[in-house]
Amino acid sequence: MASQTLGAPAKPRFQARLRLRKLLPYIGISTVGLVILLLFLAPLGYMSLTAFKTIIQVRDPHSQWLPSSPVNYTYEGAEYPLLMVPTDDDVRELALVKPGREESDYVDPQNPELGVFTVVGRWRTFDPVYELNPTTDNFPTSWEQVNLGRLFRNTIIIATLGTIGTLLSSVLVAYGFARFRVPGISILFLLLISTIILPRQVTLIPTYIFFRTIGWGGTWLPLIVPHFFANAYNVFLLRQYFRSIPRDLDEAATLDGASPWQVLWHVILPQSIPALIAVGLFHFFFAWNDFFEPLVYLQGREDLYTISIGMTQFNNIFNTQPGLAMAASMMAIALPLIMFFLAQKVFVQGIVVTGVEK
Amino acid sequence: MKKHLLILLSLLVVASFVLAACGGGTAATPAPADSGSGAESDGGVMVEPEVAQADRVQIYWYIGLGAGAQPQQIPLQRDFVEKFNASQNRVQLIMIVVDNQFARDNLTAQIAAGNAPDIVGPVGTEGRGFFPGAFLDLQPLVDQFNYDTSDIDPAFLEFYKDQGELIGLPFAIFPSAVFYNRALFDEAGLAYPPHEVGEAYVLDGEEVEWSFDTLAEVARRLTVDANGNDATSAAFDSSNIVQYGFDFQWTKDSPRWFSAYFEPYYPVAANGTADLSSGQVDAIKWYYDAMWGSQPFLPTQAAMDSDLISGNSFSSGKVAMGLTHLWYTCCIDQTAVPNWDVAVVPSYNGVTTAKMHGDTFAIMNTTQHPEAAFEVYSYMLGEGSAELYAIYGGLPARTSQQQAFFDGLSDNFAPNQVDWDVFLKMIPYLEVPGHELVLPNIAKSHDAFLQFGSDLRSNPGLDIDARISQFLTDLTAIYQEAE
Amino acid sequence: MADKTQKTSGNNIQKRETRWGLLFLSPWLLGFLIFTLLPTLASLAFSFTNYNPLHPDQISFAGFSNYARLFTDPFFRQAIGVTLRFVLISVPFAIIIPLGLALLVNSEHLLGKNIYRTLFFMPSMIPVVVNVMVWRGIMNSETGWLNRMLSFVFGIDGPNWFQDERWVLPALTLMGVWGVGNAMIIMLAGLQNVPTELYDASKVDGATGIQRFRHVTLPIISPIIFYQLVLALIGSFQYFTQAYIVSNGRGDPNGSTMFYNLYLYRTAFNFLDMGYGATLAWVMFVAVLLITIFLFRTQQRWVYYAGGD
Repeated sequence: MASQTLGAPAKPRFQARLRLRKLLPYIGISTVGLVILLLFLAPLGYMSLTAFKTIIQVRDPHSQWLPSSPVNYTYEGAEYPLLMVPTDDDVRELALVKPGREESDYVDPQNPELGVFTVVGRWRTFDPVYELNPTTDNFPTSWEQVNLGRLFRNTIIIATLGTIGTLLSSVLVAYGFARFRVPGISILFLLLISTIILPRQVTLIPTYIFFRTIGWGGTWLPLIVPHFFANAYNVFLLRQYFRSIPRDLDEAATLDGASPWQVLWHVILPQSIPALIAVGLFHFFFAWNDFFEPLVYLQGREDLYTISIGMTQFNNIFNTQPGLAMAASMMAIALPLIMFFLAQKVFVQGIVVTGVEK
Repeated sequence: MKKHLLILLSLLVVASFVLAACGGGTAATPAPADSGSGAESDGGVMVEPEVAQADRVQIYWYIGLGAGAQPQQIPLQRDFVEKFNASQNRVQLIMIVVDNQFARDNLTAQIAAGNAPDIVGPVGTEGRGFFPGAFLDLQPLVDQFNYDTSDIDPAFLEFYKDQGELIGLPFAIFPSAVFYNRALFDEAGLAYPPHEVGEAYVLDGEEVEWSFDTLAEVARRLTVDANGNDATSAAFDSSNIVQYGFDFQWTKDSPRWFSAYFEPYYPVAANGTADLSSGQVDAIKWYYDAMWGSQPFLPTQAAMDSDLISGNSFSSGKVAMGLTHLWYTCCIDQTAVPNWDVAVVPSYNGVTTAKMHGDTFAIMNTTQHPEAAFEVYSYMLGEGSAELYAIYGGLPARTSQQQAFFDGLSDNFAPNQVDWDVFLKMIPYLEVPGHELVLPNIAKSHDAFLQFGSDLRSNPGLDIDARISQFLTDLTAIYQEAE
Repeated sequence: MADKTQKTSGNNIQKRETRWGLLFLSPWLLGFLIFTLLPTLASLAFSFTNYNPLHPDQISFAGFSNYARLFTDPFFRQAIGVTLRFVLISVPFAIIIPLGLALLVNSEHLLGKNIYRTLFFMPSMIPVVVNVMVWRGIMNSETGWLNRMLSFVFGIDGPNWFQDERWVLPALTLMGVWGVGNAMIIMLAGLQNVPTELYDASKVDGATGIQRFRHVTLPIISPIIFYQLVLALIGSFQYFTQAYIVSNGRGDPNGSTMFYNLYLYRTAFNFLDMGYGATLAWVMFVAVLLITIFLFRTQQRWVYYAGGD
């Protein structure tokens, strides 16, 4: 868009200046945004670069930025790394055959018939020859190692059903809290909030015992069904949102004889789509990352495991595998990311006003 | 907009049901009848029929308190389970693998909810100590089934008893040795460490005792900064180390672990207070100085966490010597360290102590099917044991199986030649008392040791004497809380 | 007479409203009774016992002894200290940064908004375990990018983040800032509620950007900020998973990450003292509930509900 405006030919100069003045905020804001974005994304850059490294490259001090490997020279059937070795007249690329502290043995790839010769000087202070050498093996390896396909499928089912459940129920409950004068409703609301204040750690065991008693142990039901009964995070958010919608519209509808259902469906919901999408995404990703409860509830049912449980395999204290973990998590977030990219279009300012006829 | 939302929602619903349908019997409800279709091939990896089979007794095998949760071990264990299930038709063995970090807490929740597994392991003395009274005494079952233990060193049988109860039969033993990287010794022009206890080390042309002091000197020369200066050089830059001389490879989290190489001691005095022997205090000071002294040669916590080492020091190729147990053969990266061997543990005050780990499987005393569990157990320690020894890198407790085990290891690491006999030579120097003997108030006291260890690795400015006495005060309070 | 009919019809309207309200609240009320109430009461009951999850059969009544223990427990005080410090450091960030980002990605002057939103949101989807792994790498004092950048740009040696008692809480806060995507989205949804006509009107009045933000934007999204404040507060009091992974579940280094919930968790699961763990949980519950009630009380002063109260 910007280039189009700038490139427009034969415009009077003052008009071009006007255009420029209009453009300035775009340039300013976009630059600020870009700087923040770069800072914000640096960890992501570290993560994705690591995903393309072998464990050797992760640990290689010369491969800390881009995934690269030493260039080797094959001499008499064995491989030796190339170094930039300063000699009397110039710097030459030599292969390090036998490293030593103060002097090392080299072979010259240009003249291998000269054989092995000794150069005095510390090999660690010479620059090694490196080439870019990213690996994509981490992706298939981690996919198979934790059976990511199955984890994906399980997580999508749990997350989708839970999202639907929580959207349906939270909308109703939030509407109830936002628009109806029920005696003691503020106490009820406090009760709702208090359910997320009590640390989950102490209710985990009784909750688990309860689920096992009703035969839900080793199934997905504890991870899905409770979400059909609303939860405080989502109800609170939606209630806040509903309450910031002016009442005159629903009052008008009520006078026209609309039932509370109709008011909810025709007045409140159309104005709340950004919040609904936020809640939906919020829950979907919660289910994506929920960890300890699936681990405990799905005991003995590896076939039902979710992505977050699978990811812990890479955090094993005895053998950290950064490359595999990063590759797996890049794949794990790909789908939610696409979903988000599609969903975020609803966040368009002013939709509330233009969306409702007045 | 509303329309779009509805379309999106309904698409999601449809998608999830399609997925659920593809999932065979694995969706929300447990469907015992569906176990067949659960075994379909999924992306090349088998989905095992973990759904209970009605005609068999289910035995759950919980892995993760010790070895077994490594990603490369999981498929091997899965093969083992399949083989066992195919070998008979009475018992269905189901394995549960949980990452080490969460295994203990998850097991606690499962026991509390009455959903305890039947068999737990491999697990060491320390891991068992966190679940006091949760395991079955195997002696009655051994008697009932006339289980043959004649081939096992009686010392091992004793080693596996917790508070007089035989809660695990000797399975795998893991003696210690110094793993060393030959290439780094060659580069420094240093002699390899000795392979016999009592053999001298040749340093600068002179024979010296292979003690922790000698090891420290060798390690300093093997510690190099980016300019090629070693730690003994005046120009050495300790903020820019590219190669370390030594590490207690995965045996340093608790000072109780590494100090056992200096001097085995049970850290409880006769009057019930916490106590460390002078050898253990020496070990702690030696260790602290090795990281934070003027000539450091052992990676600190920050170095361990750095990308250069990523948690596995010897295998990074940047650490010349790692003192650890036989199980470490699990995790050596052959491409980074192609040329390594093992040497004997150095001496302290003229005495050599080789700390040992003994892993086994235990049966939980809540099991509904002790006999079926013991049947699996006998298979694990008998017919199927060779396979498990290979998975966990454990030396068979039965003498007759040891040679085959080492042959398997040699194949794994070919063409590199390793002097496996060193491990057998270390067995007579087994520590007494063991460094994993249960302490009073074990969960908290073990934790206190770990916190102390973490402080040593992260905190450069400690007054070490004051810190040790502070630790002993804290530990005494923990012991006394249990009374 | 007339007065009476009005009253009854008023009563009827009130009754109808109550019935409708309860109907809409019923999913949650049912869920609360089925799934939440029992475990909650059970945990309260535990706090008066010596319940050990490994040996549930040996449970016995302990009266108020668990509560008495609080007064002599030095770790309890330490955990409160760590948690309060963290709340004070992290809650402001949890409000300001997402609000700032939401304003940025909502700006009509930002080109490629969709991309920005997606990328800012992305980190919050990364599994916690990996998140910690990434930050351990970034903040490592030897090879981490952060310290390299600090020494390159400012020429200073960065701290030893996760190993230094003084720096570990800021490090965790920084890690949290990376994951504000969720909060940003909530703020962004709130910003959609600001009618453009109000903006246009204020523009005509010649209001500056800052004035517009103060007098138009802020009041309208104040319910969402209030929501975020309450949740951030509850969330930082309950801070657990990251701390658990970063500190190996032990509050390393040297107890400086011994958050209240971590201590509670260790007590209940590692030290198998569920009775005292439940006590700790309920003490925290009451304290945070009081703070929440206080926040709700302050609402009238600064939160504006266009739909009335």
